[in-house]
Amino acid sequence: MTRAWGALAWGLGQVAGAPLVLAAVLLVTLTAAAPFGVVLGARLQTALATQPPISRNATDIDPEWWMEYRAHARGLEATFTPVVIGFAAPLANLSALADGTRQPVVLIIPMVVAGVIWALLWGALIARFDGGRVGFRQLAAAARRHAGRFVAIGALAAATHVALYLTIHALLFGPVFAALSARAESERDAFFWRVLLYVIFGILISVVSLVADYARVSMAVAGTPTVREAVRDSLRFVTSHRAAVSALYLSTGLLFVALLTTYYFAETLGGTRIGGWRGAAVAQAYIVARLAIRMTFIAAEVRLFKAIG
Amino acid sequence: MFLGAGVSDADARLSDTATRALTMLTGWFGPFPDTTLAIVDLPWAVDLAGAAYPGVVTTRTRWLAPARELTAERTLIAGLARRYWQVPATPAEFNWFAEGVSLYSSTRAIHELLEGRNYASQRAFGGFVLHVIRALNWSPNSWQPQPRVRHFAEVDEPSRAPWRLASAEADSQAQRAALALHTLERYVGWPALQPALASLRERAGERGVVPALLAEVLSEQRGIELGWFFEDVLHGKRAIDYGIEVFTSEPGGADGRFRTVVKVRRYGDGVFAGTSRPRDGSLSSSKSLALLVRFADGAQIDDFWDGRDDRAEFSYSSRSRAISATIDPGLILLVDVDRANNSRTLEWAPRPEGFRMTLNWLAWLQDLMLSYSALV
Repeated sequence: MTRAWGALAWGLGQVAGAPLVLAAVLLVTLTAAAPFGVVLGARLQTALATQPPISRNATDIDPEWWMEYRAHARGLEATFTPVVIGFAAPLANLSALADGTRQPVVLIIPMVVAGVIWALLWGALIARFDGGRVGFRQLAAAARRHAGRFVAIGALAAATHVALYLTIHALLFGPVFAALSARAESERDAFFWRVLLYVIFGILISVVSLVADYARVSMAVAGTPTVREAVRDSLRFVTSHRAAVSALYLSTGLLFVALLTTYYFAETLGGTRIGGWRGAAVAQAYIVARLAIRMTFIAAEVRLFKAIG
Repeated sequence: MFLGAGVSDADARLSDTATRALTMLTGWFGPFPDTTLAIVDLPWAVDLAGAAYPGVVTTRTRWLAPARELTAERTLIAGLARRYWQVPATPAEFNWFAEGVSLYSSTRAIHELLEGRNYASQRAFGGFVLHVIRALNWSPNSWQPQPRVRHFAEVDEPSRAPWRLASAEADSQAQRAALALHTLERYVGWPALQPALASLRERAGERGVVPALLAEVLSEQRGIELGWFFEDVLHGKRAIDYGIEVFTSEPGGADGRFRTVVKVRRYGDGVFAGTSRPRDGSLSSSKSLALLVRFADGAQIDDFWDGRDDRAEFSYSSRSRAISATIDPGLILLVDVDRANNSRTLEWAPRPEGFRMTLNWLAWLQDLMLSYSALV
């Protein structure tokens, strides 16, 4: 347990001491998402250009225009719903993950892009946190060196997740939850049953994610040559040190919960407005903080693996 | 008035909402049809919220709902408004119209009663967690006083239910009737439509809630001849869709003036003529559809079209170039199935709100990409 917290503290220090790396990661992830934003932005501008001038002097978005826009929206445009605003966005994304909500097919493209981008970032970030201050060329070389195998690990994890969602999740949140909630005397009881099922399923997907994480660390830090051996090594590490691994995972999870709580209150107290610059700035600040937490977790995983692996 | 066990904050809110809604609806449509009323706050698992029967209206408060979340209030208002139009004398073949009036009345009552605090809400984690999106207010505000949004989930869903007079599915006749009534309100104004609806309700005891009765009442009260409206817009199953087909503005002669041509088109087979009388020769005789043309120097032309022909052409000569043309700029014709083609512009300029909306969406996408990539 102490080792986990020590690794987390070390990870926090590493990220705090590497603002340029954080900025670079933000730039890379933003660049990955930007093309989709350009496509949607162009379509929004086109739609707004034909908006009747009744709202021309308005500073806010006309809800009626938005509803009509949504009625005719297809593909990427159909994802432009009220949940993209402020705290609703992470809430919707987390809820979709927990409930296994089927996302629009068009979102597969950014998801795959994100998977590939993070496969590259993993290589660079492990090199940074394992080797101390290294130059951009070394980081880029590390990213390239591991990219193919890290993509393979990501693909394996994704396939396992899909299988889990199609089987265990469907079972838990289908007949099992229906049976449990039918016996619940109140909405509160039913919700607690659902939370219990979230925890059970969450453990399964967390294990898969952790195995994928430590497989990458094993390859980059210990030089494990093949994906198969790396996964085997990672499984051994996760099961042998499950207390420390879980403690680190939960501790980082608490950081994320704290971030979400801060975001929620920042929004409700700050009074962000629809489409407002302040809301957009707060949202980007949240993204930066989330990236920092993720980098902290990667750094802490590297530290933990080196310490007890 | 009977609410759930105990007097919780939610009960007090519902009681207050019911009192204010009944006062408002009585002012609009006359005495409430029931002498006693039980408001039932349903248990969470009973999916009957929104049902209205003689003397009983149902709603449902949720456990994890913040005080700003007004789903229960919207459901309650919709149920109370619905009771006005559940008239036994209504012939079965006009149940769609009664349902349409109910949908329209409910939506309007929600806007009126919850103005300024009618926020969008989001259901997460199996629907158990409700989050209020305070940045998005569905109801009128200072710069757009008309009720704008015409569909609330609490009014429209479930679209098929035992207490409904007819289906309220998206393309149903009832929804078309509701949209037609929203259009009528914007066309003749609420001060004209409200007393007409009150008279409709008063006389419906004998003839039922039928379109012909509303047409008669409007004709009597306002001297408005609306046979065309009831025939083409309310009854009709034909699609109404007007738009701008061609819009050009080019220098047209040696004097340097611009010649602007606007070709408007009736894409649908439905007609919004504004009168049942034959055309008197002018394209703009009935003034049913407004056409707004804006020019680069700030000038604008307000023209009209009676919407009868498949196409019509308007041309203007001006000192400066035209920059936009819009048919129905006042958003009167809410039954128009595609408003995206109602406007054309020649001077495209990015709108700041478009950038801001895109940035919000981009943050959502970044979060989505982070969330899913964290799993693999």
